[in-house]
Amino acid sequence: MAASSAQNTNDVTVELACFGVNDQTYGVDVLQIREIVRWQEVTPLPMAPALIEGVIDLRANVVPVVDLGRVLGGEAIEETTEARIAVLEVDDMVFGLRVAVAVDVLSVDASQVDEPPALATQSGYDAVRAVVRRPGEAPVMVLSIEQLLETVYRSAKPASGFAEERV
Amino acid sequence: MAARRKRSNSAASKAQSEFVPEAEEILERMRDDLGLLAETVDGDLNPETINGLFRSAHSLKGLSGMFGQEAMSELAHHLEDLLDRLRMGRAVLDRAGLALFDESVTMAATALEKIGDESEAAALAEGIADLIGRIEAWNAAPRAEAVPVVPELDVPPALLRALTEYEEHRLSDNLERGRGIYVIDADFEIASFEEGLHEIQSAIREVGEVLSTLPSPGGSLESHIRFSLLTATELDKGALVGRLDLADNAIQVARAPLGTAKTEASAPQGASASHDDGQTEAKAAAARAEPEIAEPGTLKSISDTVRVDIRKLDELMNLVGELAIQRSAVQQIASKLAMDPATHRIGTDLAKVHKTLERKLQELQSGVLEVRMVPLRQVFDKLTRVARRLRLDLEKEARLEIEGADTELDKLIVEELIDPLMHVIRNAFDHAIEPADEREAAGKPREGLIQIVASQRGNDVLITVSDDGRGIDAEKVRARAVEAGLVTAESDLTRSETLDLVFHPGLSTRDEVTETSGRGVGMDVVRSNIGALGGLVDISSEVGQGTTLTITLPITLAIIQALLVRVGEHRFAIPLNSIRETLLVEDSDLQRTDGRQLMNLRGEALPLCRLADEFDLDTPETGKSYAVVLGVGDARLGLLVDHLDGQQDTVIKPIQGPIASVRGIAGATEMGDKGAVLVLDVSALVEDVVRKGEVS
Repeated sequence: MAASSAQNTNDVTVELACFGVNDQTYGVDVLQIREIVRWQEVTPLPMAPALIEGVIDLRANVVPVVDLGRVLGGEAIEETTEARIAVLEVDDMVFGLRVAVAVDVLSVDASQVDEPPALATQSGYDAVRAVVRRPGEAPVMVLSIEQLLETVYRSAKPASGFAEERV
Repeated sequence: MAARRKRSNSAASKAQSEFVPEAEEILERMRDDLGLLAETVDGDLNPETINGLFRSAHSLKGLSGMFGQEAMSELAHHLEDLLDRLRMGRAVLDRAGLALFDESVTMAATALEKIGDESEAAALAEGIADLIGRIEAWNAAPRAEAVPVVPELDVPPALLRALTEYEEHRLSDNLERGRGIYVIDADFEIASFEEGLHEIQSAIREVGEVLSTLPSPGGSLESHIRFSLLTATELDKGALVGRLDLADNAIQVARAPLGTAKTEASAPQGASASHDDGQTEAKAAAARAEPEIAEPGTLKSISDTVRVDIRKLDELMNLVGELAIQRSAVQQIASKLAMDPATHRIGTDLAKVHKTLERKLQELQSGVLEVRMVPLRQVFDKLTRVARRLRLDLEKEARLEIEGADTELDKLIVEELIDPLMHVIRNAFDHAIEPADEREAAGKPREGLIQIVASQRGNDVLITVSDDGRGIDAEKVRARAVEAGLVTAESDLTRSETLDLVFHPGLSTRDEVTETSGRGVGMDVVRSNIGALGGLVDISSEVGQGTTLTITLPITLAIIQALLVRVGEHRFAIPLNSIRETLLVEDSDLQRTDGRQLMNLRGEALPLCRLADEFDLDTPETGKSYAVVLGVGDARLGLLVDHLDGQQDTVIKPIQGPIASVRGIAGATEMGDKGAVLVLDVSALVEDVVRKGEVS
């Protein structure tokens, strides 16, 4: 455990914002998060990549929204009182990530971080860049937002102009 | 304070409100420079300070002349004259001269303060006339004339011959002071020579003075350009070489410094040094200056103007937008309360409060908008200058006439207009207006006429640029377009469709390309620049009679009027300024030909497009729909939608990030409780559909 190879996270402590999606816990570097807002209705955007759900109006900005459930190859997130949209900023690109629940912020150090499992057959696994093990609790998959966006870019245009609406 | 109010309300206040702050800024700069001069009046005058003052006096002269302030313009003119003599070394500044400068600046400041005050005008004019008399007297007073001596110097004669009178004077002045004179040769890459040149010039200024900079032959490489810099400094050659980090053979000694040459370790000399000292001691110097000059009664600035970063106004505008959304929430609550008998009273009271809130919000919104508005004069003045220069450069006889310069537009739009308009004017001078003899032969006046007329039409501003030149030959345009493969020889194009081709990238009707109109950039850039501002460009032309370009622009970008439409359950906003009309259409009105959907609109075929098809929306056909007739230039397109939901003021916000950029969508706008609504990019839609039609 102590000798486990750390990836991207070295010996410094990293703070991860943890989100629950489809019974898994995913972590995103808090430095990439601008804010977390409540669920709001998304306006569908025609002709956009299939994994873009649409746009929301965030005060002075209109930002595209991606559904974490669908990007990882699973079901879209349903509207609940716990569902949130995390607004992320990566390389000047601002977008919303729809999650089922915002759990908490976790401080992890290098000793807890492992490489992702080798058998990454499950779709969406390429967006997981590391795994944080926690004794007695479910591991946290650390997401590579850049990789996530890659997946979104590559997603084909839908047959219909709008992504199917799932409410 | 009362006088100030009165002034800003007077009829001519608009012009004055532009004049006073600018004049104040100039005077402020002159005061600073005079402070520096007072410090060094008995010793070395810093040529840069004199030049600065000269430029200020020149600007003040132009500015006050433009606003009809004759007396002040006359005063500035005399100061400019005097300063010109000083910088040329034809006069020597003494304390009396300096006092005259101080008095002039004070007098100008007083005149500014009392501007528009008729009762004081006569006394002021008298005071200024008296001052001008004394300046002339000082100017005429006999003084030991400085005789410029340029001894034998080891400088290329070509370089010496190229010196202006001022540069010659600076050279002899520096020689008199015993400084070393050097010729520094430096090579730069052509692509980036401005930067390199600037760098070396600043380095030299730290230790001396650049007398003259000339491009010279003998650059080592084809891609390089060589400059010779005639330089004066107290450093000896070795120190200079070290200082500038140049090869030893790049510096030729024209004359070594006399006496004890300073070595690198000594304090830097020249321009920057005296400048710095001057600033710290300027005040003390001003106090010492004789005779004492009475400052104006107050040091407060006269104008009540503030300069504001336009982004701050954008922030305010956003806030107003958000308030408007809160307002609609209040309205909903009020009507809910009013419906319930138990709370009816409170509801109606709240509705009244809401009414006032709404009115005040509108006032706030138009107030913020008004601040952003500036007259087109700012652009037109620049165009006049360009026209004057083109007239000389091209030796064409043509004049520019301007009308409607007071028409106001959003500051951001005005800024972005300069380039496209400049291009249009250049085109007109360069291509449209014929040489005078040719015009005469064609029975036209020798002098060509280019007219710019601006006017406001509702929420739009119309700018037409017309010339009486040779006009555009539609047949030639067509031939070039066929050649370039833009259209086929068989294409059936109307005359206006043909003319519209000049906006196509890469099409120029003149074979040779001249410097003024530039290559590459053409009318397509003009159209896309104007399009980016939400505007439209139309062209019309008659061979032999001239060309007219009509530019339609929204007054502001901050808020646009939009029509809300519905397709199935999807809602879109369409900017109202690109909508020509809306029609109710039955399925039986529609015709299909060659895969294009058309309808008959007052005898003309209007191409149609279902918004649902364009965006691949799954919506049931309703059998009845609305056609929103969009117009971009002369192109028309009927967009079929299910419902019209009325108009609304909207603030368009672009969608963040490239990932969600979709052709045909310009951005989104907030609609209160309804979330974001997508705004259509009308020109992209029309272009796509019209082009598709051409292909099929």
